[in-house]
Amino acid sequence: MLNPKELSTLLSIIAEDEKSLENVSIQFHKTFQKQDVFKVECCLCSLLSEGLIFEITHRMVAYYLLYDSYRTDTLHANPFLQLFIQILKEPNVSQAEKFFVGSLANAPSKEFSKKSAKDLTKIVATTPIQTDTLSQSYHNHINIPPLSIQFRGISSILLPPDRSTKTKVLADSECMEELLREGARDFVPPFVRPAPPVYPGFHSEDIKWVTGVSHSFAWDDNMCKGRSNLDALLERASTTPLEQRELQEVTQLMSEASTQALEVALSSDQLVDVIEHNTQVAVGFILKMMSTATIDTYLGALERTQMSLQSMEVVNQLTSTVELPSPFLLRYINNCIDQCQRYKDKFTQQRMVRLVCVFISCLVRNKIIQVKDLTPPSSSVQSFCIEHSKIREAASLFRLLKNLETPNGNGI
Amino acid sequence: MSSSEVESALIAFQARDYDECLSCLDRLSHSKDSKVESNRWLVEYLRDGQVNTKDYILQLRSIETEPSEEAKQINKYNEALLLFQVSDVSGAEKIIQPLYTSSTTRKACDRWSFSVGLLYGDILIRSRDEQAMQIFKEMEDRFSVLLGSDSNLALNFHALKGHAHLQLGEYEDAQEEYQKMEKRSDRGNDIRMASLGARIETQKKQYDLALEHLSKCEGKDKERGIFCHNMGCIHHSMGKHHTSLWYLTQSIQNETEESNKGEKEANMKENRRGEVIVSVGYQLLMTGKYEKAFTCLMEGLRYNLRSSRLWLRLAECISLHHHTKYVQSKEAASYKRVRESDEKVILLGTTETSAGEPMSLAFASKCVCNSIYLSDTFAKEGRDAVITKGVLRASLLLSGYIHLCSHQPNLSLEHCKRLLSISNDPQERCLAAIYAAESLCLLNRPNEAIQVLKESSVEKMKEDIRTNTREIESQYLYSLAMASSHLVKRRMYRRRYPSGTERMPLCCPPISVSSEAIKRERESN
Repeated sequence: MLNPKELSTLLSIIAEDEKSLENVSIQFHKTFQKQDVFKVECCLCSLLSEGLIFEITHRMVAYYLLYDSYRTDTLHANPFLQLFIQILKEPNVSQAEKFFVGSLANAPSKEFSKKSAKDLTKIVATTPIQTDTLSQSYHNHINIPPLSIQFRGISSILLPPDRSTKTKVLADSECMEELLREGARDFVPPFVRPAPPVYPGFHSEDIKWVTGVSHSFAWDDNMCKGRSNLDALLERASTTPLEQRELQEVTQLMSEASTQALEVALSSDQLVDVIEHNTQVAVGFILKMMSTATIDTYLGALERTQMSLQSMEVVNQLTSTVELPSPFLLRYINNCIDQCQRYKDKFTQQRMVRLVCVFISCLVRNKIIQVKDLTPPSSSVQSFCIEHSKIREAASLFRLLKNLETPNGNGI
Repeated sequence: MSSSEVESALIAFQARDYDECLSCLDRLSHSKDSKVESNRWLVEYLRDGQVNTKDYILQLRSIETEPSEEAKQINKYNEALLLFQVSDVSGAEKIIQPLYTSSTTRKACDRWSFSVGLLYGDILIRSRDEQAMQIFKEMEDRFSVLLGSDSNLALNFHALKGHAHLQLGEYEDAQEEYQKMEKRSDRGNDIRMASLGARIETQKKQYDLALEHLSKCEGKDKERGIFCHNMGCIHHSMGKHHTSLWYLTQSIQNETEESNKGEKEANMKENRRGEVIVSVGYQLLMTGKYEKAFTCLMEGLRYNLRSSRLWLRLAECISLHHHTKYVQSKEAASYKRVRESDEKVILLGTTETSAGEPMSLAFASKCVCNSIYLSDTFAKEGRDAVITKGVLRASLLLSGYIHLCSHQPNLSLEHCKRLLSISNDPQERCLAAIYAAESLCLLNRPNEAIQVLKESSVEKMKEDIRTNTREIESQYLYSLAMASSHLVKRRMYRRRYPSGTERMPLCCPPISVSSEAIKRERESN
């Protein structure tokens, strides 16, 4: 049951008679694993009952260990109870030892556990003891007939058949090892211990049928669906004016989309078409792209676009929202002026001239563009106005520019 | 244009041309649409043969900012399907249940909702939840048009519904589902139909008919894995565990061969391997090959740590292995003669394995304690009440045995007493009483041992039809005698010898004594 190493460990623990009993018990439970404790305790019981522990203090430690493991249960539940009773009744056992064992029956206090075995031996030596009372107290606790005797089978230790045979003296340790070796204890008829059968369970528990039904993973059909709507709407915006609902939708989609996606969705050429049909969409698009590196491309397209009320409206709305680069504005104005010159139809030309002049006036009055930028040679606005001086708007623009040029005016 | 790219990706996915699909998705990646990313993960997972399951699950769970509720649902569905494939049934159920609830508001011809419902039903069947039938009934009403128009969906539906009926013991209803499948199937050897038909006949114990059903699918390579597995199920029910074992190992081999051939979508997925390994382990246990059974069951643990039954089977392997070795060692007891003397010394061989060995009683103790813990947990959760109770009782009984063998009578007694308080099975009660009695005798409480044996009356056991009744009865009576012998009130043995005598341990050289002991004896006298 115990190999020599374990036996040696056990003997060294019970030899700690100068440590407090509590600490020895803690050491014992730390040394041996929980599942081995009962086995070790049985071996300790064997050593005690065979008188193979010779020091009284060691025996006291051993008794305490056998008691301490079951101290939380009733005394009756202690499997080594009979050993304690036997010690009390044994005539050859010292009074001190009997007193110690008897004290264990009366649920000793914490102070008792904090003392070492040696200390308790000294205390006991000075205390008068009545062993009958102690024995009775055990019986009072457990209520069994005093003369009950345990039958524990045939001991492995037998009388030699012939006393005259020479005996070889064994060391105590060898004797202990032989006693505690597996199979060398008391010979009792063994319990029959049938192994429990395998749990039958239900048919489908341990082995499951395969149904043959397979489930497919789901593909997200809505992939890029939002973007496609935007593409479609922008494409439509470049060909026809959108309805109010569509305008709202495309505005919403553009605000959610990334600039990269918008860049893919609408090229600069397409922007020109969008400007002609849906100025709001164009303005929203350019505003979204203002912070990107590609804005110059879109502004370049705006510059070169066919001059129209719509394009001027876009530029005008942009100027009121963001600060457009001055060079862009100048180029745009010059482009408009050039296009005006090319109209052959007088009526159309006049109309365009009026539009351009109003547009420039607006920019000047709102101080979006500087007057000095519109003076020659940087700009041909003044000559344009002179050329079309018969048109009222052109004449007004010329006067405006001249007024602002003089030192009295606000020469910005 | 991006819309054509989307269509191309879908077409390639449906054609299982995953490389082409990934190319289309690459071209759409500029759109920064998280749905493109989700689809990409799916395609990569399928392209790689569905082996990186855990990585894919983590990817699905990493999506936190998904603006569309629909996209969230699709990811959740895929996650539930993955968990189902790796046998994490409870995890899959937690995800799919709210999806199913929300899908009930959608249109009746919605295939997405149907897929969700079908998966939910399959999950409930796997977890043996009776609610599965309710789900199928709801689906039958909602999707009647879809079921009427699509034969493949109808076959899937009726197959699962049939299995659900069988779980509830409704053979007639299962038969009706089979007949519906017959009408919708354009070929007689559909594996789904054959599996359902075979299972119906197996549960009615008509094994010949069951084999006939399944044999229709024998020649088909791609479905051979399912065929072999279900043949194993039939033979398991017949009690032919060796044959069952052969078929189950064939199913594993077939699945391995299909994977090696590059069949990325072999019918029995890698993740089902865990279940098959456990089935193989169980057959090995039933055929007495405990060590191999132990190896298989340990492998099965990798796939399912929370199976109380699996822990119980492991403990059974070890205890039966231990018991076999113990019986063999008793039969071959060694006789050792120590020195020349008049006495012979008999040494009993030890059967206790060291704690460091895999099949040790210490490990068996852990396994059976895990089984008890999980059974208690499942009982509190209300899962699988009947099976959980059965596993708990078996675990308590086995624990009584294992802890007796490992010298822990306290724990053995505790579990045996618990079993006696909850079990009405005569054989269980008898064995538990035998173990409890031995524990009590070891703890020096023979009175209680006799009481326990008398309370677990052996009379009821005689009504049992099992054949080992007589053996159990004799063991019970022997235990009763043993316990009684501990109370014989006569002086049979003296602890201390009279003065002048010498003692010797029997297993020592017969004429050796302890010098100190002699000295003490003489001093005391």
